[in-house]
Amino acid sequence: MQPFFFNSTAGQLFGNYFPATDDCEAKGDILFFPPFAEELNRSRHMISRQARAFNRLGYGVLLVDLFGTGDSAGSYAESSWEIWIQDMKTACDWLVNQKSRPIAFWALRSGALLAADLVQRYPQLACHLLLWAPVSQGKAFIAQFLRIKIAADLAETTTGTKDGDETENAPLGTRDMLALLHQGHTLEIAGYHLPPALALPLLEMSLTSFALPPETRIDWFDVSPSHTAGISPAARRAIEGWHKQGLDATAHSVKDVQFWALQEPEWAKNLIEETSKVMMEMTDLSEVASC
Amino acid sequence: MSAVENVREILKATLQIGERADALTPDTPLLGNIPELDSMAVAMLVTSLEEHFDIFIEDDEISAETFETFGALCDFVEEKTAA
Repeated sequence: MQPFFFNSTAGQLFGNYFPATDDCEAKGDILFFPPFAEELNRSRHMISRQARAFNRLGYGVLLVDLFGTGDSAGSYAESSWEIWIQDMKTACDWLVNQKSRPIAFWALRSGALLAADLVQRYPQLACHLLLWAPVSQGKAFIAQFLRIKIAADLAETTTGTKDGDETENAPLGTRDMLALLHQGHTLEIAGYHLPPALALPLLEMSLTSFALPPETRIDWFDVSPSHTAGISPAARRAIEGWHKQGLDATAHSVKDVQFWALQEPEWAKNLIEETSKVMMEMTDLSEVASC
Repeated sequence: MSAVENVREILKATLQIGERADALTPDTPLLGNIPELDSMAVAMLVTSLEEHFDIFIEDDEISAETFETFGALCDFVEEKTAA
């Protein structure tokens, strides 16, 4: 583990590089794209375990805290989608400066949108996307995040801790909150300040609408605790969409815990196994490294 | 599996309440009774129910009545899936 700080457009960022294990041939580096807000806090144990699993297969892994998150400078309120895109571009540049190059982008939840957006803008950066339970529609994702506020208002009403006159403090609905964002207001939800510069671009995003280079390979890991789940409709639609664009996309249905949503950390061992298997099978690495 | 058992499984997985989920009866209060059910958990639970049952839950349905008891939540889900 090599923790370090580096400069990006808006301020200093925290990075943590996990080098490939000494006794195996170094195969290249994987850059991780973090999820949003509380989902990141709840996933750190899984991210570092998967990073170490990649290390044992010969891959280095770079984890970074985006501007306004973790140990990096700034706050959520000051962050924006554009800053985050530049942060991840700077992280790629850092790898290149280390005489390496990212051969795969590995992303969790909304990190998938960030990764796809970056590949669209800089198609030469990487051509393999490993997507863990990716968010496919930014709009639905933001709506789910706003719901935490609706649920918090409900809890306050139920426990009677709400101050003042109910009529003056009528709880905000999703539509009201979206309107506030469009008017330029930052919302506070579960202790996170959600600025319009982050929320509004996300609202417009759909994972399959990014223009990815034709050599892109996509592995979508669909994680569900249910026995009978199979591939979710969202994953199936996305894979079909990518196939139509001529991309090499595969959905992997993994029966496991949705760790990013759980308060108490749980291990999703099947997911780590399945993800490692995909990278282990990448025998013809020259094919990936050359595109 | 019936809707009731599905809701029980989703509560168990989302709230990580283990065997306590098996003891839920229709009269068991949820909101204010299960400490794990905080605002974040309610939001996650609503999303899980939507994804599992392929339903859409409106803002005003995220109410004290819906989450009052285990039975009330199951009834709500059954009504939504029948609609």
